[in-house]
Order: sequence, then C-alpha cells, then structure tokens
Amino acid sequence: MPEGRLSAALRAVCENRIDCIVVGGLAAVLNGAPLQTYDIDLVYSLAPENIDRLLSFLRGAGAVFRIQPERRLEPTRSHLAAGGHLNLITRYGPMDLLGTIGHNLSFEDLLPHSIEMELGEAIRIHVLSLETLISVKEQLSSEKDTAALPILRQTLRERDKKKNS
Amino acid sequence: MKKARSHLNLLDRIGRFTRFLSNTLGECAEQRYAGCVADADRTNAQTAPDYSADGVDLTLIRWFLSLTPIERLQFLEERISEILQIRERNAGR
Repeated sequence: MPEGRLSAALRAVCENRIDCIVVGGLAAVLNGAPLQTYDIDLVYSLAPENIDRLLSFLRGAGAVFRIQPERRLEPTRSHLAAGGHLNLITRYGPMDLLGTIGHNLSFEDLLPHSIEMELGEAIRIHVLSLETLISVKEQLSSEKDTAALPILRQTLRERDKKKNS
Repeated sequence: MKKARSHLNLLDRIGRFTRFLSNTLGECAEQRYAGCVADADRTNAQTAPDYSADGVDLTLIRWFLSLTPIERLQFLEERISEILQIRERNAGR
C-alpha cells in the first residue's frame, strides 16, 4: 500500500529532526478517538536551531499560508519565531504550526504530557496524551473544541476500563 | 358478556402461568450457571451499553481502541483518500 500523505508528512518531520508534538484531531485519532480530521497540528519548539530545521523542512514541503494560497506567501523565520498559529498548506496537505496552545502552553510545557509513538519505519513522534488533549480543549471552550469533548472523554473512559480489565 | 368474562379469565390465568414460568426458569438459570460465568464478565455484559448518556457510540470507540496507532493512522488516511475521491467525482454539485 502506498504511504499516505499524513504518514509521509510525519516521516519528513522526523527526518528533519524537528522537535514538535502532534496535537489536535490527529493526536485524538492516534490516541484511539474515532474522529475525522484532514490536517496535522504541531506544537513546535521555539529554540533557534529547531526553527532553522523547521524552515528548511517547510521550504522542501512547498509550504505557503492557507489564507491566500494564490499569493504563495511563504512562512519566514520571524513568523516561526513569533510563536503564533501558522495555518499552512504543504505538498502533504494542510499543516498548522502552533507556538503554543491552550493557556500559552509551549512545546516544553507539553512534552512531559506526551507519548512517543512509533508510527512506521523511522517514524517516532511525540503525541499529546488524551488527558492533556481533553484539558486543553476544556480550556479553549470554543464551539469547535467542545464539540469533540464527549467523544474524547468517552474514549478516555473506555481506554481506562480496558486497561483495568 | 359471559364469553368476554371467560376470555379475560383465560388471559389472567395465562399471565399468571407465564410469570410463574419466568420466575422459576430465571432462578434455575441463575443456579445452573452460578460459578460458570465469571462475575466480572457477567457484570460487563450487563453494564456495557452501546451508547453513552450523551449519545456517543461506544462500540465505535471500543473498536478503534482495539487498533494499534499505526492502524488508526492508516484507517484515517484511507478514509480521507476515499472522501477526497468522492468529492472530486462530485465537484461542482
């Protein structure tokens, strides 16, 4: 079976040694929540050497801002260093790069709350834990985020029941 | 009138007999299988609903949890690919 675009994106992230954590819908799916998502959300480290690697990866991936794709506006070092939310389209599909999530939680804050998952040959990546994903979504309290909460909470309950049985 | 009363009587007797059978057989089954089915399994079967109180399909969650993270990723990728193909085929509709 040919490699899917999500796997290819995660592989490229690993190959470029980017310090980041998978969050959002994809993290929910990898943790066992039956949700549908189309993009990859990554919280990345703002360390200068990581931004260099990220920039090189983004150039290779043909990343441009999604807001006006026809203008082909490429993310720059200063965009990445600012640590905001960059909504990009790449040759792997949509990818959101996030400096922080929730109440200003950075890569360093979230790393202890992530799990390193092996998602194929040479794909080892940190994924935000289900518990933290729920707590971040509770903090955000936007309609989009709260919509997924019942499924995430039930997934956590079922997973814990399975572990304890 | 007499015929109707006799019908009611008959229905009443059938009802009482059914309740008697159900109670007796229920007790027998309980005694027969005591110790054969682990208490935990019996409790799980009785208490594992298909939907949560807020309407979440728990059977779907249990099935998805039974997959490995790689399988979950592959399933998602297959679904995305299928949905995009359908959308392409129906572009402009």
